Formats: sequence, structure tokens, C-alpha cells
Amino acid sequence: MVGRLMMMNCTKIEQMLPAYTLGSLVESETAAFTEHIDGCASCAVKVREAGDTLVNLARMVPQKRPSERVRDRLFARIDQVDQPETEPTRPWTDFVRSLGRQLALSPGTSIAVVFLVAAVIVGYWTSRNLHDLQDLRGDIEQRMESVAQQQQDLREGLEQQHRLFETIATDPNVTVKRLSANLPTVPLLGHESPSGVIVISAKESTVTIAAMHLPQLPQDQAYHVWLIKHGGQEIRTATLTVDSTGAGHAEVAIDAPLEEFRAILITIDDATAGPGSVGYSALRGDL
Amino acid sequence: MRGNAKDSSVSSTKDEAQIALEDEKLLRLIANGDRSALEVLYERYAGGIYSLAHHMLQERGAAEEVTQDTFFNVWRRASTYNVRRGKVAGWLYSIGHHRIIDELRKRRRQESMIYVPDVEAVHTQEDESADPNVYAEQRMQGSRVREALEALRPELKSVVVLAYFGGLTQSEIAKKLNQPLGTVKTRTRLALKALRENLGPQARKWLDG
Repeated sequence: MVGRLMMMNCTKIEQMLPAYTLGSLVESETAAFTEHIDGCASCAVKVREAGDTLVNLARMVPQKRPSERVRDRLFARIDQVDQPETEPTRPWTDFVRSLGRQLALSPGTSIAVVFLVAAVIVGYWTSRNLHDLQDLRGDIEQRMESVAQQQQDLREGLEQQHRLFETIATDPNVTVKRLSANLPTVPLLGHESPSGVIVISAKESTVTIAAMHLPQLPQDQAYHVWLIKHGGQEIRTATLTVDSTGAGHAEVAIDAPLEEFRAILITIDDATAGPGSVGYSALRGDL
Repeated sequence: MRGNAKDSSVSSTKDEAQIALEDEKLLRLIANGDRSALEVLYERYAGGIYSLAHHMLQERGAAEEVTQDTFFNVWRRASTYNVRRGKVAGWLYSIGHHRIIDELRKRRRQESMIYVPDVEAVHTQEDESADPNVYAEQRMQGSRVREALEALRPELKSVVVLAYFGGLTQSEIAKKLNQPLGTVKTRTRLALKALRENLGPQARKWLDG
């Protein structure tokens, strides 16, 4: 973040100000923006003016009042944060004695009443917890299935890596390039920074892509692999499959000379995306 | 209703600059743990934050949660307020607006859908149950800003609505409008500039404080 702050100069801040005002920057950009503002008096003045626009846009909407319970919950929450630690609980003996005094019962009867109440509570607790235990068992079974799937994916991923290493070791015409994450997309994905490699086999005119730390996408979205020509033309070639461990894999057959292409781009698009990339750029690598 | 009713109507009776100074004083008190100062600030701005959240999230429960979170953050972060960054009202609305956008983006991630606000329906039925004094003042200001927004060219208006009321990032707007990212950035800049110009000198006083 510090690096980005250093890179962000006042001109860049001025360009980003409208988007900041409307809240349309992604989180990492907002963080870098506010860091700069805190250290720059001249930019802070511009942000101050923009803040007024924000207030006035907010006042456009129909005015309503929240119910009183919002205020009550807010102050209860504040109380909870500021509250000192609670007092230690009373010992059992004091409790039994106190109960006896209040109900005018003998010590023996008080103890019997306490045991009776305890028995009812334990019975209720046991029956309720049986249901909880059944739910827990269901959860554990589900997680075990998920772990088994991840183990299977890891095994297959290792086999793919092994094949890739073999290709690199045995084919003298192979070159390896790096795939890097498009940083603004990373916080949007809410995931670790993805990365990967591109293995180019000139002999077989194929490109193999192996990436990691990619989140699985909903069914109607997909990772699309695009080849970018020197003129800027984008050609969609394949879909990157991502397993449960976040590892992505794709093989692309190239039917034109490799020299015609300058980069590979991996985007998150609708599964049925059209001919041009319009989605988020997740990874990019120069050829 | 608890709290001082006069505090609610303060925006209609006092000068904007004076309110800003009062707000700064309140925030200093809040930073020192003064709950009654937070009560006053809540009376003054809770309606505005709640209204914006309700309008954008279209759900009462979520709007209430955002309002509560916003003022809880004010309580926790009052000491971090930097007067150089703007007036308290702007700071407070910024916290609230970002919280609303977080909620919208979380929903989009979970539901894998993009909520698109109705560009033509920024103003809907007005709520007569709001505090009459605040309501009258805010309706006057709101109607001027609304007129200024309506006067924008459609392509500029849609960028403001999608970004501010829809919580879409610039890339998402570009995708939604099928326009290059650079065009969206330019339109955002032009839209805000035109908005300020459309408001005219009288209404700009509200913006400039």
C-alpha cells in the first residue's frame, strides 16, 4: 500500500476525485486515495468540497426516520463495548440459602427443589442438543466430503504439474512466462492474490496455463482465456477450469504463428460472454 | 421520541457554517466519550443516513443495520476525524455511503447479480412521517439537487445514478453501459462539474458551505 501511495500523485488524485465522491472506486483504490489525502493539504481542500456534493446527493432521496429501536440498539451496543467486566457468579451454597429464605423453605426442601429444577433443565437441554448433534453430524459429513474432493483435486493438480515439468524438461522449444494478478480485481474477489505461469510449446503450438489462488465462480460466470494480438484484437480461446483448491488449468491450441500474439488475459465474464472481453481482468501475462 | 426536538430542526434554523462548527465540537466531545453528544449528532443525521440506506438497499432491516453501524463507527472513530478532509456531515455521509456500498457489493458477490437502480426513479414517494422541520428543509434542498440532476444529459445522469445510488464500480458501470472505462471516467468528471454548475450560485452555497 505504501508503494501505491508513493505512486499516487496529486494529478492522479484529482482524476480519481469524482469516482471517490460517488463511491465508485474499488476498496484498494479508496484506501490509497485516503492515505494520500491525509498527507496532502491541497488535495484535502478539493475533497472537502466534494464531500458537500455527497451530502446534497444523499438529501435527494425521500426522507424517512429510523424506528426508535435503531437508537436503542446503537446505545446498547456502545454500552456493551464500554461495559466493565461482569461480577463473578454467586456460589451454589449462597444461591440455595437465598432461595430457601425467599420461599421460606427448609434447607432440605430447598435442595430438593433445586435438584428438581436442574433435572428438568438437563432433560430439556439434552433433548434440544440431540437435534444439534444430528445437525453437527450432517455438517461434519458434508465437510468430510469437501475435504475428500480437495484431496482428489490436489492429486490431480500434482499430476498436471508433473506433466508440465516433464514438458519443460524434455522439450527444448518450451518457454515459460509469468501470469500476474490485476491488483484492483483482487479485493473485489475477496481472495488471496492469484498468480500463475504460461508454458508455451512452440513445437506443438500449444499454450498451457496453470494458476493458483483463484476463487470458484458462480455457475453463470467463468474464467475466459483471451489471446491478445499486437493490434489489440482479443480472441477468446478457452475456459480456465478451477478446482476446489483454487488451482486453475487450461490448454490452448494456437492455429496462428505465436509471434502474432503479445499477451494472454484471463477475465471473469458471464459464462455465455460474447466475442469481446467486458468482464474483470483477473490475470495477465506477456508473451 | 427521545432527544431534543430542537436539535432535529436545527438545520432549518441555523446557518450552515454554524452547524458545521457545532458538529466539529460534538465530534470532539464524542471522541472524549460523551454519549449525549452522540445523541445530538444522531438526532441530526440518523434520518439522512437511514433514508439513503433505505433508498439504496430497498430493505428496512438492512437500512437500520447500516444506520446503527454508521453511528457506532462514529463513536469508535471520532478521534480519527480530520477536519482537513471536510465537514463532519460529509465525513459521516461518507462512512454511511461506503457501508451501504459494502452491503450492495456483498450482496452482488453472494447472489452473483448486479443490482441496477432505476435511473428514472431516483425520487420516489416521499415519506410524510419524517420530522416536519427536517423534512421541509431537506425537501427544499433535495428538490434543487434533483432538478440539477434531471437537467444533466442522460448519459451523464446514468453514470451518477449507477455509481452513487447503485454502488457500482467504474468497471461495472462500463460493462453495464457497454462503454470503455475511459469514457465512464470522463462522464463521471463531467457529470459532477455539470451538477455543480446546474445548481447555480444560490444552491452552490449549500455545496460550498
